[in-house]
Amino acid sequence: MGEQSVRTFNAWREKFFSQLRIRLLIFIAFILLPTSLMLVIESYSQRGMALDYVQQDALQIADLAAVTQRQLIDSTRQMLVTLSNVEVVREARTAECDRLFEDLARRSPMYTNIFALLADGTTVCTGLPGTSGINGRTLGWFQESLALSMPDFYVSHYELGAATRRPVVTMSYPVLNPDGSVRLFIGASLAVDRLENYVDLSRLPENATMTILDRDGTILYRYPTMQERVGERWPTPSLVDTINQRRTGTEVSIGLSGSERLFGFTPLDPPNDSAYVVIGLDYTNVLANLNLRLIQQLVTLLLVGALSLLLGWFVIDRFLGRDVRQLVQGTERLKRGDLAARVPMTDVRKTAELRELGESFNTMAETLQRRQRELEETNMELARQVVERERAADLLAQARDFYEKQFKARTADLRFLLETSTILGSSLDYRETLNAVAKLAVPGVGDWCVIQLRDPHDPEMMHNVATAHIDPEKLVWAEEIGRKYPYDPAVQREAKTGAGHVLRTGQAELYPDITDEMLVLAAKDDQELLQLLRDVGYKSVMIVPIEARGQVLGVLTLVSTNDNKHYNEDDLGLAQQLAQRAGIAIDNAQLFEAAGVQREQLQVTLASIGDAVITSDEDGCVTYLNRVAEELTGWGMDDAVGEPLRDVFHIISEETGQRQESPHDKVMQTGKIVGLANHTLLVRRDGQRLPIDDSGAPIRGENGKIIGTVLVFRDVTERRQQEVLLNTTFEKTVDLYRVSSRLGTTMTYNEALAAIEDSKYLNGVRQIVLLMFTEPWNDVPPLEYQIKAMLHEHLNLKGNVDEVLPLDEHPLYSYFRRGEPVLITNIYDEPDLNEPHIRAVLDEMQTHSIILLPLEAGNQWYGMLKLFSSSSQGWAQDELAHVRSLVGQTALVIDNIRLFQAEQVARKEAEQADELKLQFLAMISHELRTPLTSIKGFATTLLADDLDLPAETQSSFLHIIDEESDKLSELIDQLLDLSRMQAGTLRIMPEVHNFTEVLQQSQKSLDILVRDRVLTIHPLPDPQPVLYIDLHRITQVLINLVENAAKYSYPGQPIDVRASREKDMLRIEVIDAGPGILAEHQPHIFEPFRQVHIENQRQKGAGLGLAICKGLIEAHKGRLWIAYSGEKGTNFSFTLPVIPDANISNSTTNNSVTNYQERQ
Amino acid sequence: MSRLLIIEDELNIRKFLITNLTLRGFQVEEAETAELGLEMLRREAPRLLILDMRLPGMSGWDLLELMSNDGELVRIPVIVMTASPIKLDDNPYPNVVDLIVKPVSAVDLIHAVRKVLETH
Repeated sequence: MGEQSVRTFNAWREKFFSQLRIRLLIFIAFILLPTSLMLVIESYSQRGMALDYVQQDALQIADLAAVTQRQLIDSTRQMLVTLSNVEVVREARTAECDRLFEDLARRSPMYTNIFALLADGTTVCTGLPGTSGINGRTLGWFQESLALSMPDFYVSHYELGAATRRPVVTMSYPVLNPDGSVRLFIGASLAVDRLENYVDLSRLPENATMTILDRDGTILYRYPTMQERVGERWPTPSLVDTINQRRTGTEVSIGLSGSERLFGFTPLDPPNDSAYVVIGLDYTNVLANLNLRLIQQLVTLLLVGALSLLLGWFVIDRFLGRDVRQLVQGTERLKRGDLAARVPMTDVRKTAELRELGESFNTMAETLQRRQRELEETNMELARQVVERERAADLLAQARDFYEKQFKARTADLRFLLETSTILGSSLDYRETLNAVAKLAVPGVGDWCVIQLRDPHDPEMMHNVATAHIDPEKLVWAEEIGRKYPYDPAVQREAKTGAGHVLRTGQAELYPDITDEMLVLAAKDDQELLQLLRDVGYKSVMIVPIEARGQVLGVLTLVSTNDNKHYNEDDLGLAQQLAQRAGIAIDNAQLFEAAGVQREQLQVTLASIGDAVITSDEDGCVTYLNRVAEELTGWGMDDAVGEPLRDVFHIISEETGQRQESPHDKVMQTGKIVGLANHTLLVRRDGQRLPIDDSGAPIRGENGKIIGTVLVFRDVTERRQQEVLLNTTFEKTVDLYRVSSRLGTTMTYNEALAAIEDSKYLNGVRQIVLLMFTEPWNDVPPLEYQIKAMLHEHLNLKGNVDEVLPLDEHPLYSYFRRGEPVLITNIYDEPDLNEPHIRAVLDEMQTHSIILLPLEAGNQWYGMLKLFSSSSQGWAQDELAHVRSLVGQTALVIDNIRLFQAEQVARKEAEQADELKLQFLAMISHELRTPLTSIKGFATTLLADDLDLPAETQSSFLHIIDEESDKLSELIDQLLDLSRMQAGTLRIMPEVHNFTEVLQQSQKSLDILVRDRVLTIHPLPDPQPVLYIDLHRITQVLINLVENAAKYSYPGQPIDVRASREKDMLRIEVIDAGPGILAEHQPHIFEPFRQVHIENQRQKGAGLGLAICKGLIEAHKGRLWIAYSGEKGTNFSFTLPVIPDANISNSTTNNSVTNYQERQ
Repeated sequence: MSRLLIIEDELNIRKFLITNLTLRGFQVEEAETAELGLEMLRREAPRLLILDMRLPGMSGWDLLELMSNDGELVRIPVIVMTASPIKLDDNPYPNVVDLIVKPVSAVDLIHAVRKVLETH
């Protein structure tokens, strides 16, 4: 805040003092200042002088008083001498003498008394009656006079008179006897207080005082009269000391009145110095007077000063200020940007300098205004170009967005499928798996996903097994709908569309747009259902079958409730792939489940089979066989009874074949129930052997004694068979599970093949080859294939990995079948494989049989898996089935790998495209900045205020700015063309023309471009073909090609332009003799993005020209290409379609055009 | 008077640089390519090099690389001039002392040159 106010103050101060008027006033003030100072100094010196003067006055008065006193003393002496000769006095005749003295004293009032004393002090006569009694010896002067060695005139000290108490100086003169002794003294007392009568005290200044002090400071006299103080001591001893020391001088001290006064002093009676005249002046008053005078003078001076300032103000304002103000106002307006500001030049009063200044100002303002207009025009032009440039950038951005969306959508699909496969491989619980699939499908593919599976017991019934909704809250609601409106087979049986229909037919259904009519139709008059259907907000629906091994297991329904998402064929494909993967997962899981179920069922079955029972007596003879025992042993009841048990129940060890101990003996020995060892075979009467399970128990009599045995046994043949079958199936399932688990983790084709080889059922397989068609084999066979992977690379029939080969030359081509495996049990039986070189390879691989398995995924047949086996035994049908399901898994995995690799390739391509795009943008940025740098550079140079540029230099700079603006404009045009081309919005405005017109149109530019190259335009075909072209654009192409030719060749070399008719096309060739374009650059020369690299090497420029030319020619349905480029130079050719039967001769172009148009 | 060398391929930009620097009392040499510029760097040993980075043939970067391996040339301070903004934060070339991003105003140009000449 402080800083702010300081700044504000500084600004104000600068502004204030910069005013001309203020400056002039300050100038006047500066002149007045010394005058005032001088005045003050003068006043002070005057004051000093006045003080001196007063002091001198005081001294003078004091002196005068002293002199007067002395004169009086002299005259007194004369008087006393005269009196001493008067007889009356000499004789001391008192009466007469008294009269004389009285008379004298009366006439001379200056004397207080005249008297005569005897030497002993007795008063003999006196002029003052009543004083005759005074004895002289009590008086100071008398003593002093007596003390004189030589009696003479004596002047006493000043003192107060003894009788009068007035300050007096007493003088005496001795009257001597003839012997010289003193007869008497005649004296006279001179009154000091009468001094005013002799000295002109009126000369003293007002309020001045005169005091006579004796040496001790006693006040002897005071004027104006102040009798009461007479006799007192002077109140300030310091003044008395000073007077005693200095005798004559001046001093400032406190006076009798108590106020400070100036005192002048001098001795009254030098050299006695017994009294001093002290003149007191009113010091304060004197100073006050002086100060008053000083102030009066200063006030006068100030008044005069103010008057001059006022006068100056008006004079400046009247004669100078207004003009300057006009100039200032003009400058202010100019500063604010008002370039129309001018100083009025009509006033004749202007001084020459101001007039000149005003004129200069106006000239400057005009120049500035003109320059401003020029700059504004330039700016307008620049602004226009910037807008164009932004539009170009917008178009570029739009193109980029479009591309990115496309790419993202594609990669999202691929990722989705990859994720699906991973989930499907991870669990054998298909419900869990399907829930995962449904969740994955939302929101990737739809907002609502329902998976329904066929009831295993009722083929027409389906149940919801998995539901997912984009909104978790709606999931409950969606499940609620499923419960409220369960799948009704009776209704679905008749349905022509919908889930039931898909379940029956296995045909997927796609509804891109669900309309309200469709909902009404579906609801079938059920208002509540209709409302529900409307609430769901169906926008688009897909229903796809979930299939496995040719059976429809269920359906997958995907619903979009998003206005912007309407399913198309691509989405349907995705959904089908999803469903197919789900199908395999369900199949696997059901297979796995079924294996477990079968095993349990067997147990139950066997348990329910009736057991065989044989009883025997204690001797071991058969006493009873039940019907089952009869069947199993082959013995009838009648034959067997009485026979030894060991004959009827003939058992051997399954492993050793030796006769087993009879259970009868064991029971008899132990008295306990015994179970037979497993793996017991019953040898029937006819010799047939049956596996049995049996046990024996004692039969006890009433006394508890063992009276016989009972054998219970059962035939386990069926169970054994079941067990074997079950084990095989189980093993296969485990094998499948193991292999598919391993497959699920594979990321490369080789890993996938290695996983397959791991299967126990492929023991004899020596080589597995993965072959992929370059295109899916749908209706027509693809032309080529690639071997993607081989298990053991040294063993191969033909071709190397990734080598592209013709499919119909594949040795096993004739065996390729879609949808079914092909088994070549014995290659020696196959005439197709008899060719020696094929046979040689097969022999080397020790091949006896071959399995060919088609690889299919997403309803596409994309390749073959070939298994070469050394087994000569062939393949059991069930083994083949197992391999087939193995391959079904593999096909999916391989498809996943394919997708994965495709995604990687797509990603890489996108990254490259991004990189190129960035480079392109950097290039564009640079190209736009280059002319901008010149424009800004020269514009700022023109604006630089430290440079004084001559007019022609300025003009040349403006020309450069103009030239560079053109370049910028051209570049922006090119970018716009390019972006329009890429957005497919490049418009041409064709009219009927011929090539001569193109040449005429471009002639001027060509002349400038080729400069020191030799341009030859060869004769045109006659009659000239009629072209329907945008003349401006084709001219642009020609100029561009010739410009390139000039750019890439050297001075003096020829450039040829040729036009020739080729069928229904006119071909134009632009040929230079330059060094040609490098072969590796040729394929990219028309690509704006790639062009950057190439152009960069040798030539500057954005390199958009050829790309635009190609676009323009293609917009005309023509072609632009490099017909030749090599050592001899380069030939750029382009063709333009010719309008048939409309030839125009060179000379009559316009008429023919008219004719042509009329015919149109 | 300090002698400066400008390497810039665009005629008008070169003209802009030379005009401004010459009018302000600098003695200026010019080269159209890095190759010619290198020759002049060795011959003239200027006080300061103003270097455009994008040049036909040898680029500005190439020249900087070459200078950084030459005990003499590496002592010449360089003002790098570029149309694409680059960061000087991790500048591997010790003699690159300032960066001018095109387009540049006459005032900024002179300011940059003076600053470098005062401090280097």
